[in-house]
Amino acid sequence: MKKTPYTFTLCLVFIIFMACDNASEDDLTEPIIIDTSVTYEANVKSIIDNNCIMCHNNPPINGASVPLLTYNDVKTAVESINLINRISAQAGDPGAMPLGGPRLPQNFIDIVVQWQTDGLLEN
Amino acid sequence: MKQLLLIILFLPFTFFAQDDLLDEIDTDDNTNNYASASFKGLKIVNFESTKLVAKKELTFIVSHRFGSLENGLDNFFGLDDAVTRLNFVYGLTDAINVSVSRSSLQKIYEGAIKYRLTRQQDNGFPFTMVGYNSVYINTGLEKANLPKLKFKHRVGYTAQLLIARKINKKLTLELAPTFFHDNFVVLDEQDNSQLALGIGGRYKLGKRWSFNADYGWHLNRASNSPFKNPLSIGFDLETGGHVFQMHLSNSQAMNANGFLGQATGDWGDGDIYFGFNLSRNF
Repeated sequence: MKKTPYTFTLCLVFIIFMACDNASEDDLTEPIIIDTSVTYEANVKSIIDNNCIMCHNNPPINGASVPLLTYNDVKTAVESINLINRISAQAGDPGAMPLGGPRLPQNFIDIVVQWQTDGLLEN
Repeated sequence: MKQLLLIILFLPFTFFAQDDLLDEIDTDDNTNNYASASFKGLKIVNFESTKLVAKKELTFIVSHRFGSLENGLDNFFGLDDAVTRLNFVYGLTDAINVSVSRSSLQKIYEGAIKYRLTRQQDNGFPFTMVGYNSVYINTGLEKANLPKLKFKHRVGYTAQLLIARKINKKLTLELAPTFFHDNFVVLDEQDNSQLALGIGGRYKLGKRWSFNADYGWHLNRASNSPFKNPLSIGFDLETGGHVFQMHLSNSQAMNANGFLGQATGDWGDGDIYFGFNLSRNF
């Protein structure tokens, strides 16, 4: 077992190289300032496109239930199947989305909530 | 006629041969009065046990955690939201193991090293002590969501000391003081460096059955944290080359940093997860 010390050294070097950091969600996100009403095209679509449509495509894949590809898809999901509750739930809670992934950053969830408050505008 | 007689005479030896094979599987090196078979699985439930893979052996462990039982038949008691972890453990020596794993929860890759420091011995040292260190990479974080994300934020570490004692033939108890550091945490109030004390044990119910439980007591969780301490109970079933572990836990995550830092379920609400670990030796 001559290789064992090398393994240890490699691990050690790796760990030192990586070093520690003390970031939290607040440190890695920028506050999003919206002067007017939140709209689908300007604010919501990019969130959905980056996080949901890999499964919630049309047709949905990986067991997803509904598509979230268009304005109408997303609007219907907010109105009738509680999209906001699903993305607000903690990861691992029943029905939490994105499934198996980290929860969306809070500022994104706030945008979707604000979008609903502002009347689910398209643009 | 003579041949037939020979066959009949030698027939019993073929049965002995069977016994010899079984003996080879069952032998525990007990010449030094080391406590044997303190644990049967490499894990108690979520916590690592003090068992290691033997030299040059490869063990493949598939772990599943279903989604919450809370919604019942609607998602078939969590089957629809199951997560999986694939884990390979290799024995460099009898006392040093390395492992790599991939968990579908948060797309986590993890590399770990597990090494035995002392062994419990009759009239000798009273505990088996094993060290466990791991580094994980969370590839589930998205730059689109966290604009300032760098690679280092995906990384986290665990350092754990496992101290176990086989109290009698049936009962083994373990303490697992753990230090872990996440370079990224969700809550700003949560310290990135965290401490926890794991408490676990195994009680043999029969030749092939045992009852297992473990609990992770987080020592510096933020007061507004939505996460809970993980409590898990389960059964080990040994079937030849497999160890089959079935359990209920309030943590869906399976990596140390995950189940200690980010368990979301709640036993009081029935918000718990069914899961199993299945390990196979090669």
